[in-house]
Amino acid sequence: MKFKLLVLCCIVVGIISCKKDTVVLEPGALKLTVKYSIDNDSLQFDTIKYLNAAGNKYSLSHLEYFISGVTFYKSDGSSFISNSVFYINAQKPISNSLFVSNIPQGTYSSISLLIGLDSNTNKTNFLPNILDNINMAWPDAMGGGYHFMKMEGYFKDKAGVKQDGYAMHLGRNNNLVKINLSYPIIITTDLQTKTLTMNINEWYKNPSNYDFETDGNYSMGLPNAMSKLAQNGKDVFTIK
Amino acid sequence: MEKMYLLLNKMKSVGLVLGLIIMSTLVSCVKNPPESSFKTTPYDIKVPKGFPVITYNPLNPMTQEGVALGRKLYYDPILSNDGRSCSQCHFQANGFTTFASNSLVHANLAWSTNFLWKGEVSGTLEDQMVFEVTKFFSTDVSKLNANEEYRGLFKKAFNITTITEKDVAYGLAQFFRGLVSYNSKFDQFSRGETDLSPSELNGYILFTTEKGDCFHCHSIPLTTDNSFRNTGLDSVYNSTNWGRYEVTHNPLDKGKFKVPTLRNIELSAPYMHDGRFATLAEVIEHYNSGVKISSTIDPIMTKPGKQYGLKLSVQEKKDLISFLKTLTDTTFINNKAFSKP
Repeated sequence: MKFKLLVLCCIVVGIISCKKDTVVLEPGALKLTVKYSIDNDSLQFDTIKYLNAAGNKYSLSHLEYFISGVTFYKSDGSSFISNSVFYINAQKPISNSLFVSNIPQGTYSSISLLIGLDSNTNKTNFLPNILDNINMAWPDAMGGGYHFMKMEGYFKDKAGVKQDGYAMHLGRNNNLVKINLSYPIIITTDLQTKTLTMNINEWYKNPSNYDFETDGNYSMGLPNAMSKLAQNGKDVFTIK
Repeated sequence: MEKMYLLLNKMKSVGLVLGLIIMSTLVSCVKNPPESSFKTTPYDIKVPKGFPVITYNPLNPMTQEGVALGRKLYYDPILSNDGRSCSQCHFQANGFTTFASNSLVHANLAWSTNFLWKGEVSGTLEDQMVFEVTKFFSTDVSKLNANEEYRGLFKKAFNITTITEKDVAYGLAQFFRGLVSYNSKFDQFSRGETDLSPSELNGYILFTTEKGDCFHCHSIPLTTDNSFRNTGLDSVYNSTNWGRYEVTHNPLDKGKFKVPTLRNIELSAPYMHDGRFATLAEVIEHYNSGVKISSTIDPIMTKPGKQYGLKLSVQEKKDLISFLKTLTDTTFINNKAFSKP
């Protein structure tokens, strides 16, 4: 009797698992390669030769940031949010390859992503305790969590005489940058690679020009400066 | 009869199981190589709460025997041919440096990826120790090979009969990796075990906010971000202060030096890469009013107000020093496991 029951159970389990196999598709993945431009120029670090909308001639010497909350939207309104957090240092090539995995197969009409960390993640010591994350910490005395971005370099004043440094640091939950990319994509098990390009000059315009001389050459702890950058950041990325 | 049959069946099953056990034992016996007599005891570094994970070198696993060997080497002038040892310039009582030199302290190097003021070595502690053995000390390994005690210690640690420069470096690297400082007053405060005084707390706030802006480079809890920075000590560069440029030959690196840890900073004067400041008050005053501008000064050092000083009050300067003194770790400097064996 017991044996018969066991056989029956095995058959039932077998059927259930077979059914599952046929219904659930293996998830797909997407590789995003991050590149940088300054309008039509490709980025070259440490040369004071770029011009932003406010007329500051500047260089970039350092750029690190987080990308998180990569979301894929279907035309029926449903969506899939990846829980991966990517630390990116523009000068470390390996960190500029992002693998977004476990995406359900299907046709998506658009993608969105965050530059920074959502409020559930942006908490002191929340991310794994590795050096890259620790060096991005936003001190508790300034509200805690992490820097969303550190972007630094040098600029010449408009007279072209005096050189100064700038440090555009972004953090705090109200300065999270959400980027919407209207980009239809079909996810299958074949790994696709797309290129995300950050146009540095977009941080300094649209809707408001950011001028190192008048808005300040550092932003951390200055709510107005950070807010301006965060709002400008909405279209720093394009995808293709 | 029926019972007999069942019993027989049971015996068969038991026999089958026993057979399987015997077979599997035999198979595993055949597979396993003969047991080696070389055995080491793992050395466990307890990573303090809030500290980053340690990236170990799989080629040089930490063992009690390896650390003990490295400790003996650290204090022994046998490393050099002219009487020098690591401990000659790195006193435990001064957080493993001395008042007589501007040597960097030996603490928490398990987390370091760049070594020495100019980053002459990048990589692992093993890479750094190979540099020390082959370049800095030019260790004569024949002296170690001729020393019976060391032959025994190297055999115990690495199961070797001939000692090479690499083995010396690996032994040292294990001792260095174990030099973890995590019990200063500030660490205890971070773990919620003690309070800071009002002055220390104010110093901590100055340290970790834009007012003092120490934290961007001296990131908590290691108090270094492993980077190289020009903090405005000079505005003209020559062979005495080229810094990182000497290693990379990149003009953008002129005047940049490694951000040092601030652990036991109270005990490790003089300060800066050239020991130009004798006291912490002089260091603070440099950042407050002495920063010199040049094309490679760190962008963080040129913020408004900072270019001409932090504009700290007398009390604020005192508070910053009070905070820096909470980074003194008496457990570390008195730890007998790190002292001369």
